[in-house]
Amino acid sequence: MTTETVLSISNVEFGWRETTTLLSIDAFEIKRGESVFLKGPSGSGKSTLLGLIGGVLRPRSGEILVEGQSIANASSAMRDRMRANHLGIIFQQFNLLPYLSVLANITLPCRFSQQRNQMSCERFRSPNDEARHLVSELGLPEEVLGAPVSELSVGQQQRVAVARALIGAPSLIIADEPTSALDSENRDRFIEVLDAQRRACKSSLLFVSHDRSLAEHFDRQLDLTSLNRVGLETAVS
Amino acid sequence: MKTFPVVFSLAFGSLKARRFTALLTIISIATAVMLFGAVENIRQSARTSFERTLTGTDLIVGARSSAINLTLYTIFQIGDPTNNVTWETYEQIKERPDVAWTVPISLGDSHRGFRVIGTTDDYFKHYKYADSRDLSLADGVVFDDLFDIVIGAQVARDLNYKVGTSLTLSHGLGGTSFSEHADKPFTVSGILASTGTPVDRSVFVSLPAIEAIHAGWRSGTPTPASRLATPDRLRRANLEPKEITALLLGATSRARTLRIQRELNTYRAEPLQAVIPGIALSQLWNMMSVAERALLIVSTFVIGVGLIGILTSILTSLNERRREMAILRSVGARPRHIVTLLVSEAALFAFIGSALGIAILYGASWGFRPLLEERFNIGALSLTPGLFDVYIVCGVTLMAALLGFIPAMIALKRSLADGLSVRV
Repeated sequence: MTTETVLSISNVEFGWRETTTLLSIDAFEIKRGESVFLKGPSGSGKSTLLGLIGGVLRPRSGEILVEGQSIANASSAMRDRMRANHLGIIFQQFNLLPYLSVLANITLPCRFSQQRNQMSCERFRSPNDEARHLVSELGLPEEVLGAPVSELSVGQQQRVAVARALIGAPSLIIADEPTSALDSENRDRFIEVLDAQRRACKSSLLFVSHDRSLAEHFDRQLDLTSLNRVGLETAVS
Repeated sequence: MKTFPVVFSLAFGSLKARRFTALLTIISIATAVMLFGAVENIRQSARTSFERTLTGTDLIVGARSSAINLTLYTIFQIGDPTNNVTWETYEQIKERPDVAWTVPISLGDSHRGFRVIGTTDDYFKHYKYADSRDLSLADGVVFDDLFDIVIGAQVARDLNYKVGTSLTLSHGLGGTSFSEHADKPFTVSGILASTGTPVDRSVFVSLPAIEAIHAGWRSGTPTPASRLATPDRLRRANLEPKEITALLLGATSRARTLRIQRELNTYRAEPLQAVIPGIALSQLWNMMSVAERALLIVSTFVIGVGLIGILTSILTSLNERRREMAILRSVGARPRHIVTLLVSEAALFAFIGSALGIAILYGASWGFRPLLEERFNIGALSLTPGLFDVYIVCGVTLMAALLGFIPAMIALKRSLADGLSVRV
């Protein structure tokens, strides 16, 4: 069951209370293998959008399909499973659990998702083998695998986070300002390796940032403030 | 669900990463459990050893007072005898066909605060404690001469007496006495082995010796006639006592005990009282059990404090772990994983802590075994963990797991509100 659209959002409205609407999106799609740059300044509803796609929030109305399956109307157990199976998420900073080794951090999604564990085994024999492969592809020395997280630089930590997001080849990688803690040189290198590796995994990428200068790296770019009709109407800057 | 082992390994890793605070929390719970276990163990063993201070004796017989008073002054050397039993009565009881043996006890003198028990050789034959254990001599022999004396283990230890030490007795039961039996010196002929019973604090002389030191005395004071009674003359005299304080009695069979007791309690010639030692000892213990229960309540509260320590430790870590919860949610952890993670952390704290506490308790018991053996009736003190200790560990772990739901619910609520945004 492979659809050409990995993510499809239509007529979605969200608000914490009945009376207020925070987010209202008519239509937004990500195709398989596509990389999308979403410009989202803080306060534009970015976290809310990611929460909706990740299935930790539910829209008041509308439909969100991940891999053709509704995450908006699924049960909470189903939403958790869909997130584990189909999404790889990279945060701004502090992506790793400090008490686990780098290797255990990378393979964590395979322990929560049967599907990604299976995928990893099919492609690389085991999640550990895939982790090793990803680490070397991302330009990290192999020694980091056994090292405690605290010994890694911020740049290294972000690459480990990429490895964790990519393991088991999920359909969609969501990166939420992953480069904001990096200097400009590291920033471009980071996006290059991220893009190369997500292509190898055939994953789509939704890259959220407020820094428009990064937009050139991606297939398509969008502005959340124009996507979100609420932002247009009440234009608070 | 296959993911639960993941959660346990996460909980374990998280504890390891916070090993310093985790260690303190574990130590506090270990100390609490150790204290509780020790109190409970000592309480149980004190009770058993107390109730088995005197075994093998079917009845204690004395002048009529209260059962507890009679037991206190014959067995524990506490309190004063109210009245005596005449020698004729003693002889009559002894001759009864359903009485197997009797041991007379005559009180009224002391040596440097330790009470003197005037009795016969039979005392050492019939006095049994714990699981029918006999008194045994650590050194020397039982009375040979009229002025021989046998002392308990604690008397020998406290006063540093050896076989052959010469000593004199004082009239009266108290520590200070105005009348001394200075003219009739005694020699230590035997020292009893330690028993952990009041026998250790007793001084034994023969019944004729009690008569001998009071020869020529009238109503508690010496008369000029007492000077005529030299030790050598006394050795040759017929020293049959007129009265004794109490007697220990063994029936020919257990079943006859109640009948003997009833008949002695209604004895016509003089007012007597017969007491079954086991019953009197439990009554005595119940009187003292208020303190024992208070101790148990205090140690239960200490465990409560330890558990609150676990709760505090997890609650204070929650703020810095908000990010951790978001990360776990992002890789697919479900709300119940978050709950299990925190609950199992609390349980892990409690399990490691209480197991450690029990281990330290019994380790220390083994280490101090020689000391305990000397001071207590060791047969009663348990030196290996039992089922009760398993219950303690399980109970504390369960309680901690239940308490763990508090931080778990807080973390869950927050992580649902935070969603996938990581707060830096």
